[in-house]
Amino acid sequence: MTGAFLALVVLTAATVFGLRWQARRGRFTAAASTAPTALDGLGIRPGAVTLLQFSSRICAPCRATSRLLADIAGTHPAVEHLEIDVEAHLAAVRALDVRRTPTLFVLDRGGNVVVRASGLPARADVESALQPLLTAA
Amino acid sequence: MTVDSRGLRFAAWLTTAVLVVVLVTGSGWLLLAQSLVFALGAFFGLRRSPYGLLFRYVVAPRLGPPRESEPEAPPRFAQLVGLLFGLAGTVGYLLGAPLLGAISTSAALAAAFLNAAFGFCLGCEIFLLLRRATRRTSTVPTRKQEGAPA
Repeated sequence: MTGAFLALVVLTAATVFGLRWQARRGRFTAAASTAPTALDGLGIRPGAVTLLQFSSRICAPCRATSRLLADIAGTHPAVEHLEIDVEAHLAAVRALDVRRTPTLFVLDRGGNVVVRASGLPARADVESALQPLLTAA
Repeated sequence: MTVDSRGLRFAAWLTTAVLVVVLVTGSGWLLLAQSLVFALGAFFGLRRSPYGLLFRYVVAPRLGPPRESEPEAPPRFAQLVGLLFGLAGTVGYLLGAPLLGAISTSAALAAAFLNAAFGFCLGCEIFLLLRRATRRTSTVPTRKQEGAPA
């Protein structure tokens, strides 16, 4: 009987956790200011608005995120999509406090991190995160 | 190597059901069987695990052609994590430590259920944390100045 009760507790707790996880997945939040050297060696091209994506081997939604961002970058000439393998860039991972994959940063033309999100984002959310950066001269 | 996404969900739901039965009955032998399934999936691939075969030969023919496929590495990693919890739980149940059995099974159940119901990817959440914890950066890490956040 205690086993059945435990199963019920686990499934309930997991449901609550899952709903919260789902609600936060791919949501953009303002990014903390980072050291100027945090992005060194990642190959960020100045002058472009960058969609910087951190991915890993062990990550199913990374591929879908990659497809989405590449598609968005393809429709905006000023937007560049840059995908980084976390294992090859652990210094940047630590400096930017990347904890899970995919983690996505949107950088303005000056190479400053503006917003970040974890998990597969919605296309509309990416577009609206890009909007103010593209209109600003 | 890619696998049918629906097959992964099917396997996750079946794993969830089996682990619920393990918790309710406290059966170490059933958990041992589930651990064997985890091991086959982790070491030989999801398509060759019993649940994968069941999906391919019994379920998939009734569903039509696959719409989406996923790389195999993430679910294999999850199977490996499942195997670790499964083995710990099996040892607990069969060697007279039912609390260890119940806790380990609960952890495996939570992960399997989150994957089945929400598409939660365990590897996405913990793989990088493991890497960050176990491997030092070769270059001098750029330390962020702690203090006033923007």
